[in-house]
Amino acid sequence: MSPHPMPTTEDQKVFNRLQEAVRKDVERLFGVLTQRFHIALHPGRYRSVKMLILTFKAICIFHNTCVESRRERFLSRRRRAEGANEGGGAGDAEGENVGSGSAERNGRDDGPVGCDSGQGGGAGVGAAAAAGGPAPGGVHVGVNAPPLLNPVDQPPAGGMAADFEAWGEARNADEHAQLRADLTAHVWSGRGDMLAPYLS
Amino acid sequence: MMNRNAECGFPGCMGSLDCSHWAWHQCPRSMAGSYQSRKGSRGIFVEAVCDEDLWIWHLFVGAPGSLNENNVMHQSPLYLDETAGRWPPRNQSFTLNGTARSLSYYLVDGT
Repeated sequence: MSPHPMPTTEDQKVFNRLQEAVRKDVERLFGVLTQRFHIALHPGRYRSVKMLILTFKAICIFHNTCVESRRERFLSRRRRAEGANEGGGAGDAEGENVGSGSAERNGRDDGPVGCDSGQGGGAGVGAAAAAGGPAPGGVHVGVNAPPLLNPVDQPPAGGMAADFEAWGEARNADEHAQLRADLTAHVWSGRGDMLAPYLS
Repeated sequence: MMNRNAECGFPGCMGSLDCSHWAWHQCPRSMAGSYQSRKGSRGIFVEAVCDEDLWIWHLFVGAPGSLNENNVMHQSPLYLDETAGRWPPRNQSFTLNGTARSLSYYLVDGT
């Protein structure tokens, strides 16, 4: 979901503003990662792409370990818990989330592990990085073999027609525009007044 | 995570996706052409999906620096899975503006 390219109306501006606010996490990730592990801050000093990939994979695994051990002490979690204790109008929904926090955390601990073992055919850290990038030239084919779209021994489960359908569904521009419009309306109706002062 | 994103105003959102550039000091001269980024230095691209706890849900390293973010995304296994229908799972349905949907999405930036 991308922001509106040329926001003109008020609700589109509000949507873009909120989208940026939620998306900043991933921008923050790279900052935190480089500050936590300076090897990612300095230019990589390896001879091959394989070593670069391996290093970054290791960094990210360490990072996930750090996150997991420190998650209880995050400021956002603390704030959320305080909001639950106050029990205001907005705190109700959040308090519910905190109440089910342990169950959610258990689920989350299971989730990434399942992800790492290649759930969804390579959405995890290990599998994704092992699939590597493209191979310009045959220099490091073993590392960077291009990901196979449809491996010969793994034909699409529902036949090619289902594959094309899924492609069409994921790439549907109309659907994307509609979803964006719906999200815009949702955001505008939910918190348009709240975000309006922050618009520049 | 989906619950928290719904609280933030984005029901059905699976996290945010972004690309970053990692410079490569000792890039061989033979690969300098394809690994040269738009800023002039050589390096590789790192694509990541994370949530607000900075938990990395997906990582894709190793795309040459000469690509832009769109091309990196188009060759990442995550995208290939999305377009092949293996990911995301369809059991998470959410209602937006009166319409029920089941296809989750990621937040990306404008490029």
